[in-house]
Amino acid sequence: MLPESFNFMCPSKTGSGFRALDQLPSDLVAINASHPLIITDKYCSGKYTKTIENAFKCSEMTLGIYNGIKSNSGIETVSELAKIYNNNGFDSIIALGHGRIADIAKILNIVVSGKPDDLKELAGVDKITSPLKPFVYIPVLNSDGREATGDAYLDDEISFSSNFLMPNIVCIDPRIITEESPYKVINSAFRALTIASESYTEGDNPLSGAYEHIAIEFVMTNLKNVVENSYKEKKRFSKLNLDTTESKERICLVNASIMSGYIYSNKPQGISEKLGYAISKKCRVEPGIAMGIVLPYSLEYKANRKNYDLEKFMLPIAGLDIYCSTPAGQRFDSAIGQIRYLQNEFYSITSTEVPRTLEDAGLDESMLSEIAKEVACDDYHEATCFFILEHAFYGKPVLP
Amino acid sequence: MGNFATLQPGGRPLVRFYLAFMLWFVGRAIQAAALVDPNVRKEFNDLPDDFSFSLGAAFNGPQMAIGKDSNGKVKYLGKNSNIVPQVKITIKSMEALFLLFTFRESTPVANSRERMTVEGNLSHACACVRILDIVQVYLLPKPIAKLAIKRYPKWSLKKHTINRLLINLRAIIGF
Amino acid sequence: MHLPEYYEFCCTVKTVAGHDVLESIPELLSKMNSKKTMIITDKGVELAGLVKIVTDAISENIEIGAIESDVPPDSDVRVVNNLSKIYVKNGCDSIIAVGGGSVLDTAKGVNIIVSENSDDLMKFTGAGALKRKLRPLVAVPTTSGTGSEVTSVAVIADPERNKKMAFSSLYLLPDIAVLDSRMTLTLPDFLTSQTAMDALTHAAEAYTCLSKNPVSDIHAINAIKLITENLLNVIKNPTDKEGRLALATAANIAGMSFSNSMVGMVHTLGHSIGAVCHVPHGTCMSILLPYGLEYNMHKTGEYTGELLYPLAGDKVYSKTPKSKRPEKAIEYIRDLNQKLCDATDGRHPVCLKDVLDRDGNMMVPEDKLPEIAKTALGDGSIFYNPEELDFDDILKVLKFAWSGEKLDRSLWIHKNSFKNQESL
Repeated sequence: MLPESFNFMCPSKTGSGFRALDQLPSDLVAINASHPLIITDKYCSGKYTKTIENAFKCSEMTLGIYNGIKSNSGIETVSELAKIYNNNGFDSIIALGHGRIADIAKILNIVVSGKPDDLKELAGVDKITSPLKPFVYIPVLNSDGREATGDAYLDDEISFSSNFLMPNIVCIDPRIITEESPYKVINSAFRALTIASESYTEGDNPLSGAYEHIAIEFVMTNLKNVVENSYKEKKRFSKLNLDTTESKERICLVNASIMSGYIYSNKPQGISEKLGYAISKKCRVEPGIAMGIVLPYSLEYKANRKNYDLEKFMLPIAGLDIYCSTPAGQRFDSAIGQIRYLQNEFYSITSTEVPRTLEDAGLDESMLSEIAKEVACDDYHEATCFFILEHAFYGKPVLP
Repeated sequence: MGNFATLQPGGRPLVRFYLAFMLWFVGRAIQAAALVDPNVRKEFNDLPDDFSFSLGAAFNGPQMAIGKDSNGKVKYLGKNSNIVPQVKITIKSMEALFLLFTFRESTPVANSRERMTVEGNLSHACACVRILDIVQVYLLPKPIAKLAIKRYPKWSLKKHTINRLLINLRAIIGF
Repeated sequence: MHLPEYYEFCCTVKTVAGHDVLESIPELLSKMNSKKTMIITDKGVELAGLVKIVTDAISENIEIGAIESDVPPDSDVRVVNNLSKIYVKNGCDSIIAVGGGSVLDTAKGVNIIVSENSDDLMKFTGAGALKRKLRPLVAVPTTSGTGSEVTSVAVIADPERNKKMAFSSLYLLPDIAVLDSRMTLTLPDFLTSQTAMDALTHAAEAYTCLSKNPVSDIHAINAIKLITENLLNVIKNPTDKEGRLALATAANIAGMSFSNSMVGMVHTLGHSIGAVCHVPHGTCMSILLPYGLEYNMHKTGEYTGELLYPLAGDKVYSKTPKSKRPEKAIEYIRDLNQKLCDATDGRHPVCLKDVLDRDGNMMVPEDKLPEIAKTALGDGSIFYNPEELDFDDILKVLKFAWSGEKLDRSLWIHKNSFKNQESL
């Protein structure tokens, strides 16, 4: 049954696949932009500048490229960029890369769309009230989806959240989605899986259902192959990127991350997501991986203790045919089983680099109660959080 | 400011030359087909007099235009025609036009991948696309033409041989 | 899931749905810096008392600058110009469109004029003519079919120049679509069934036509599921609020789906029957859908087969062997049409010859079919159909749809394109 009321919005246009970048010049013109500034880091500019340049050939556009983003870039970088942007008369921003790059690009957009002293005033939730300059995001394989959200972090004190910060265009091109370390890929994919799954199992919002479904299905059907491929001996010519199946699998993962970003901008955070962030602060494990560890237990808790009917969860996890041929009653357990199977596989494929449980992750058991206290909220009291964490620590399923 | 640079992507002279040549040839072939092929003639007859349409790439890419004069005669108008075409088919980038003319993407596929825009009267545009389809069958060998259109037509031997020869000859010689 | 080599998806509309969400309009408008709004609607909607519900929901911090119900069934440029003057004169800064497709098209036209500060709509036809965001526009649909609250096109007639102007731009998408179950509660049964089948057709075509993509696919499946699970209940029990909301939502996500994946021959033929014989759009859609799926089956049978899940449920789907699913899915659509026909005392016709006007005359005489076929060749949606269609093909399909017989697919085998039908 549908909820009493529900809503959804995704202001971004997604273009994904073969020669996506070639469409970008005319898509930019359509949103009244013709002089974009590309923001990226040294790694991406070294690898992909040529591809971007080729895509803009014959467009008669001049591009600016700034490749000085570092993981600790902050307000000074934003000011430097604002100077460059204004002095050269740019009219739009393209962020190429992941994480920090997108944060800085979004904050730059706030600065160049209004007054320079806007930043402090506009910090917080929904303080921006009108559209900013055209903003395009070009993801890479380890984009975790946060880039496509309306959130931007400057530092621990100042952060921004507004739908106006979401990109106008997300352009997913196979030439940019090249291989990455399996650990990073799994981290992004598990983050996408967690956000999508928690949203999918919380109420029946048919407006966001498509995005959730796609993110879940793409991670479940492609992640293992992508990870395995990165351990395979490289064939000759592999640098030419000729294998379209492998490229397509990577594209699917990036699609999943981007979709999770869209979902994230429309929903409150789920419990696994919160726990994941809290755990990653306490031990050396990335948030996405930690979310993935907690996810099966929190979903089991929902299904077995809160009595949510989560049989439908198997549809995106296993696909239409397997879902229909599995008898009702077995579907939820089977879906959770598939997530666990994937995690256990990664544990062995990556030679224990990717943990299966919080114990594997090197978390100290004494930390559990501290994390539970930190994350506790109205829906999930401290005791509940602790209960989920404890099960995730030992890898012990939550039974009815 | 060592981190900042400006890029001037430039053009692709060879690709541009190839596309200009292909458009020129297709344009002249349409002019020839309007004389030789009854279906193409019929499509043109149903279009209003003084009708014209253009096909080309965005951002000042190569273009070609075809028009009917007041006597109903179909003419290839070249690349720099001064008239404003009533139907304008624009491929979003020269790269996409190159995919189209190297037969890696068919017209329907390019259309479904949002690589082209059509301006003007849609029902006239439909006729233009049908004309282009027929001409492609004349110009291309069957295996390639099959990639370019949805359904390969069943034609008589005469169409496949004599008409095809005539259209290709006329397109080359230009009358 | 099918991932095309390249796809695009875009729907910038914020959709707000529920049983009493009209009350959220003032807050949403204030967020867009609007203070005075204009309501555009038509006579029918006003008479049904729906405008009153909307105005009651609008609280003090938003002023209503004007309520105009002067929108004809086919949007007209003179009305657009007229309404634009009222908008400017009354100092409005946003529009709420309450109604179906023509109301929304008119509102989109007004919004172009007042935002671009121009008096000539003609300048903004064609691709890429609009370059920036227009003024705030809120769409409140009162039927559950067209999905026009999430489409980026508008068609406005110019009777003086005897022309239909087509506008297409992402900037034409409304900012907000408000789906409130109260807006469709009074829709009569035959209109409910027609509009719902219109939405189902959008979804089924979106799922099987050339621009299908992951987002449009799942939206389509979910839309069909909502319709098949609720439509017959709502026809029997018109005040079923839950069911009404489900149908409105289905139409909305089917709209998002087809406006991103485009539609094929069912719309090609449907538009033409509408143009030549003035048959309501939803009626054409429900009659033609099975034929469109049958005609394309050798190319898209696999996708049609997957539609069996939302049409018939998981049990039937898993019981039916893969090769039989496409036909079974089509059978379910025909069956649904028949049930709707019975439930509305024949006011939901299942073949073209049964379509009657108010006086009981046949609306589509058989001798009109060639004219319809000719018109169809000029409809843009023909490009997105998976299989080629020429005049003869269209005429043959129309004849079957006229008599109500199943399509005899063997008629096309000689065209050698149907030879791979067994390879499913």
